[in-house]
Amino acid sequence: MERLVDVSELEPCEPLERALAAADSLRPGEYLRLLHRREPFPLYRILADRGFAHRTVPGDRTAFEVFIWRRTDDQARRAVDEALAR
Amino acid sequence: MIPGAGDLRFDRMPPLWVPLRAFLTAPCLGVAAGLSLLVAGPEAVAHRWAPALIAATHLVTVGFLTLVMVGAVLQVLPVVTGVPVPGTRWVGPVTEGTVAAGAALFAVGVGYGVPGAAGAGAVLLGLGIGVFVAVALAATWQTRRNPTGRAMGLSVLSLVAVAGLGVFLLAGHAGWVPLRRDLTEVHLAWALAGWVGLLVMGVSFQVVPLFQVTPNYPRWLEHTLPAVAFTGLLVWTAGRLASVDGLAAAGSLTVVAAFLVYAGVTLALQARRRRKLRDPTTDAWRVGMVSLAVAAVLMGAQSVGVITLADTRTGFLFGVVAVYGFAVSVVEGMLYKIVPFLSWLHLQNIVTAEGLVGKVKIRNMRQLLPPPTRQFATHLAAYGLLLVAAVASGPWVWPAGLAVVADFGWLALALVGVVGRHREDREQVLAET
Repeated sequence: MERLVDVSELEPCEPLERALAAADSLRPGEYLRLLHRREPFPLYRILADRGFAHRTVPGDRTAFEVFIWRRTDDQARRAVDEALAR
Repeated sequence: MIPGAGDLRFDRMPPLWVPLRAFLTAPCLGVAAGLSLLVAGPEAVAHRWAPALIAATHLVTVGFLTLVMVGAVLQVLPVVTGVPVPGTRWVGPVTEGTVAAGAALFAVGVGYGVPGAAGAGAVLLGLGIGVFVAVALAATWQTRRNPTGRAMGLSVLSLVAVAGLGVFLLAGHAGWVPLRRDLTEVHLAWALAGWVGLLVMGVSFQVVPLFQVTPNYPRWLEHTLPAVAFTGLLVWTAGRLASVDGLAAAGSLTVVAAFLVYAGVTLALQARRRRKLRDPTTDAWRVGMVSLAVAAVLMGAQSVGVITLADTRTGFLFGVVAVYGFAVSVVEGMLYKIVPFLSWLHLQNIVTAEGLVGKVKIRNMRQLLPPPTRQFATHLAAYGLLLVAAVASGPWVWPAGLAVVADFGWLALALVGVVGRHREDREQVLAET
């Protein structure tokens, strides 16, 4: 199941705060699709420390799309793989 | 990935105190510039060589602007390019300390005729700038493929010319070499268009899209404009030194065109801001860009012989527009964003490193520094009064000087406030460990 959050029109530091809040609220099987206008490097280290995995790809609507899921959630990882394969 | 647009390397950030010390010290020298005008009164604008005017100008350009620029280079270069500035931990204190003390001593020496002070100040400035130039050039050489790194490199090369010419002019004043007052224009051009202009350009490629939520600068502009402006400066200088007027005009008009395009594109990007909320720091950049365009037009008008900036009032007007209207406006706008952002980012890193995510709450950027609406109004008032003082002269210098003190003083207090709130949050976080 996908949760979509668009932070592309927000000023620092709101994109990172919203991304973390959304990631924290992910339920089993869910992943977060983050629409961003810049690649959010500060976010990556924080996500890793909090037990999340991520993949960043060029986006259609915004410059970057970051897929975020709990590292232990295989169902969410498979859902990300399927979304990226589409 | 879009080179130079999204590839910020925050894991390469220097310690927070490296840029912060420069950013906090800088406004104090701006306050000193305002005090210098206040003390001298109308004498300060009696003529372009008035000691108090030279002192105030250098307190703003060497003291305030150069200190902030040094802090920005040490902070931005590793983050943008991933290449750390060698020896940042000692280069920062040495450069910041010597530049601040050197600018103050130089101003006291020139403004009040204290024997030996100007020379001692120049030696300190030469030492600080020399160390900074060496490490910054080494770092920017490795990052020459990155538009911001390349613009910063050209800016640092310009600083070499500024410092060299400054020392030569000072030696002329001291009677050690013949005084070449005509080189003052060359010194000023490399300082404003080269050192300050190119650095603002390079830094803006990152901070304008990031903080003002605008589209990125066009790639062609990022890759060509700094080099075009730098080449124009070289051509203009060659024309001036060889007394070939056509060459000088061609170089000058190239520089003018480059900065007009840059200012126009920046204003156009700001007009396409995705977030339409009113923001004083974006307004500060707007004022800066309009002032840059006006300064460029004045410079262009001189190039084609319509006006002469050697005329006292016209020269004053150009100086106020270029230094206060353009450089001080954008630097203040940048500081109001970058200082709370760095403070917040370092706090966020501490929370993560200590495993306290979700357990402690830290302030966000707006809580660390609320939108500086009143400070910006003070800055506008200072700019306006300086313009009036430049044109009308006389007693207008007193309110202008007072407004300059208020402008920089308020900036200093705002930044100190950020540091205080950062410290409170940091202590609160560390108390949880």
